[in-house]
Amino acid sequence: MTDDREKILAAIRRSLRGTDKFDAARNPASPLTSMPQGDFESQFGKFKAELESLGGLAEALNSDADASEFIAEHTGPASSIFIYNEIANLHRSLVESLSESRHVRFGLEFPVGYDKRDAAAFDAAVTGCAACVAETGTVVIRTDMRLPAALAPKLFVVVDSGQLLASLDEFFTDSFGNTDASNLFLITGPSRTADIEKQLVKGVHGPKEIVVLFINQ
Amino acid sequence: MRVFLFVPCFVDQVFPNVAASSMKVIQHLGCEVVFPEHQTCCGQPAYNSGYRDEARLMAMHEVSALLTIKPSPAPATKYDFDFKHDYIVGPSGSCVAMIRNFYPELLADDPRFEQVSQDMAKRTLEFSEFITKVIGVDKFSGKLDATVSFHDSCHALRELGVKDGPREILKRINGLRIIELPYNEVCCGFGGTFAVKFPEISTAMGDEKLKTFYETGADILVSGDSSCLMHLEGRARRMGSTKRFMHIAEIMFQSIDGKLTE
Amino acid sequence: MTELKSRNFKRLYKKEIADQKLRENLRKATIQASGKRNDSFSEVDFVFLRDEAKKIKQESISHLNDLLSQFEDNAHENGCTVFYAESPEKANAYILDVARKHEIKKIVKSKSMVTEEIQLVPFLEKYGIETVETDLGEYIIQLAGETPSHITAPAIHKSRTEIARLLHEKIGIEQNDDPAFLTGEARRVLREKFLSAEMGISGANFLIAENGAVVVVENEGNARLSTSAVKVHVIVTGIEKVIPKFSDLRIFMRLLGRSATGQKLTSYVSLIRGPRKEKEKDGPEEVHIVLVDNGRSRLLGTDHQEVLHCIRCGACLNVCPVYRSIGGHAYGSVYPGPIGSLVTPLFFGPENAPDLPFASSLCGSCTEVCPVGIGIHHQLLSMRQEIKPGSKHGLESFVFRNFRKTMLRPGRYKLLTRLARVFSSTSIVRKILKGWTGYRDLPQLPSRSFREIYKSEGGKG
Ligand code: SF4
Repeated sequence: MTDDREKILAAIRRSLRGTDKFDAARNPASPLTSMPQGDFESQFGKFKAELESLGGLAEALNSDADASEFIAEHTGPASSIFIYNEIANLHRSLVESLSESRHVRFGLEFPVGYDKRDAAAFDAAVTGCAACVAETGTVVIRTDMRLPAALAPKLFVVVDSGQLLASLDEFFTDSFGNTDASNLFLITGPSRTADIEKQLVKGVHGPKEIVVLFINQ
Repeated sequence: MRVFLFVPCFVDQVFPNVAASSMKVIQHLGCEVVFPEHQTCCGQPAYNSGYRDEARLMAMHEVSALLTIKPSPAPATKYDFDFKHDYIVGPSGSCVAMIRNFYPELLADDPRFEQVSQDMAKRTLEFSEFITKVIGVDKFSGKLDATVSFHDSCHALRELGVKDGPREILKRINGLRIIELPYNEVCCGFGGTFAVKFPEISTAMGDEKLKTFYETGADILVSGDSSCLMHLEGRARRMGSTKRFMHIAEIMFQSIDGKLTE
Repeated sequence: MTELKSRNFKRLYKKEIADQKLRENLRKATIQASGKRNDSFSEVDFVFLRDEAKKIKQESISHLNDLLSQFEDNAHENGCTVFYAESPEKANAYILDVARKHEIKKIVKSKSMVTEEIQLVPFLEKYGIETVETDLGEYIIQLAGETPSHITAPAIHKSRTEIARLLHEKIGIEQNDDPAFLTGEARRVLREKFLSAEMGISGANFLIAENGAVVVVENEGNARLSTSAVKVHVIVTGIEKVIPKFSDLRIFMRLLGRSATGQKLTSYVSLIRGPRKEKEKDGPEEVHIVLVDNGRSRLLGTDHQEVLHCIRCGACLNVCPVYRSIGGHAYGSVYPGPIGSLVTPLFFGPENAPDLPFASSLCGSCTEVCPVGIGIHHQLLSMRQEIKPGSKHGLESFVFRNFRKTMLRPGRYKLLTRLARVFSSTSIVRKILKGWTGYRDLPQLPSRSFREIYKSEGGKG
């Protein structure tokens, strides 16, 4: 089917002919009126406060072992847990100790174009992230599998403390804009809706619980 | 400095007391007041209803009329108004906004009025603004034993940015208790011809406003715009309420000798 | 051009406003939403953000053809297909074509105002393709066979009891009006749809020219699934959504969530660069971007160009006292509220919405909250001047012509007003005043006007 490309672009050009062209010099200042700057402690404090005000959870832990213990505590003994490849690679000891107490499966086991029902079978998913933003309590996910993290009722995000950004100003920059992944996904708190009488309900189509674990390397 | 009193047509006709009170308060505060007799209507009703051409003609008339004390055939070329020292002051945020915010645009393409409408806009103030910005609110004091709430008209609030001024003035009246209306930035539903074109919506909005007023328990609703008050009072009367509705100029004037008239 | 319900605004609003319960629900919900919005701007500078946003939108719209071409090039490079559609028919036909090519039986769809505008869902259903709205509010509305009554909260007019009854009847769940329960049941039903559908449709909040990315914001996670758990993803959006830079999102993202629901950032933001990459194991194999014009390009170069800046946050609806009184359905348009009163006549022709620009007290609350600085109430005012009601309503134009004539002649003004005082109780005057006196008392007319008092007291008043 041929589209209306030429027609529309010509109509736009015609209508705009002779009108003012704006070229907005961007004001580089941050619109934030208060923001903890500098050290990890205060930025983590902000991140935690933001995420927890939305009903999420954030912890700073010292080791993979602590993280594994934490995840085990927050999932039932019969739970099945999906582990993203990057976690399996970077946090081997976390995965090893978790698999002793929980049923875990790995991204590696899934072929390209796997059946999406298989990704819907988990109680929890453990993923890494591309960045975290203190200002809003946001985690940014960039993975080779979109669905497990989108479908599991619980999502654990394991973060290296160096990945914490102070504000959205630092995230919306070329280094993230020019990613070569097919998508970036920003998650800020649990999935939610207020479509029924404006009453907030957590956990609609996405994870009802989101836990972000910072591991101090 | 002289004050050229701008009396919107419906104030002239329906609320002469508001104009008279404004004049007397300003005189009481030591300023000379003149009433340019040729003025009629600023043209806002036509302008807001889409009759731009009618509004333009009325604006042209009003510019000449307001700047000239004694009647002369419009448009006058020589004005009595001194653009360095005099002010145009009107007891209506809505009509003042018409002159200040819309005349310059409305008359921009007429060489006779382009400059003068801009100059005039800079010297035109709403009544409470004139008290707080030019005279100084501490020059005024009064006393009255009453409980009031203040209603912000949308045009005063959002077109002119009048918010704290009227409240500062009311605080200068000893014995006056002021209770803020909840949701005080929400429109009362008057809206000019909107009030008669969509009366069900207009009165639904009026009822919400009245409900918040009744909730405060105040006796009098004070505002800087008689049009809002006319709508609210008319609705309140229809629904059987006996609450009072007063323009801020009226309550100021009466507070000078400390007695509320009936 | 089809006839829209918005022609009958006067009839529609009278019906809606009579519904006390609706008004109460709506008022509660919108006041809550506006309050949250206001609170959420505490730690950012609203004016700074709004002015930046306005500047960027002005730039975007004034360079629309260049930015669209740039977006298109980059989207192609990312592996997307871009399709321009001048009319709803063209857009719908293309999407049907895509669905047929892939033998699609079921589509999962997330929120998109443009799809409402082009009536995509009824169109696809007519051709036997099940198209499921997956946003909870939209799902409720779809089950009820209604249209959304709000841009961001489509079921805002429905009470939990009504929703409970509806879900009970339509999907056979236990009758229980707890929102958490209802949400859980809807999730269960819709999850199965996500797992069985092969095609997804979403809107777009922004198109980024410099990298071809499409931005979709949401709270529930349904857009994430509609764009990811499918073989084919179709994005349907308006041509005005393109902005120059990825970094511009730092402005818009901070404004959108706050303005819509008082959130610092919406729960989910998907930045979509295209179909799955070779190393990726899921995600759509094809991504189509349908850019709809439908009257937008006509607005360029007119005084109404800035209406195209709208990011559909819904803040102007929440704060509008008219919207609060009559609800979204009264407008008879996909786009209700203050912005709806503008875009309805602008997109679909003034003859389709002759009353909407007048259905405002011009209080300016909408303009005050608009995150992209659209002078909404001033736009309404200038629309009024263009529509020129006089040509249609003879009496009104007669009144204003004479009003003007009177006002230009102070002598006539004096005489007429004095006459009016005498004749104020005659039936013709009463008829003119009916819109007032049917609902409110008239003030008691004083015996003398101010100018008479002034004159008689020798200029002392
Ligand atoms: S006009 Fe402004 S406030 Fe209204 S929906 Fe659009 S962006 Fe939001």
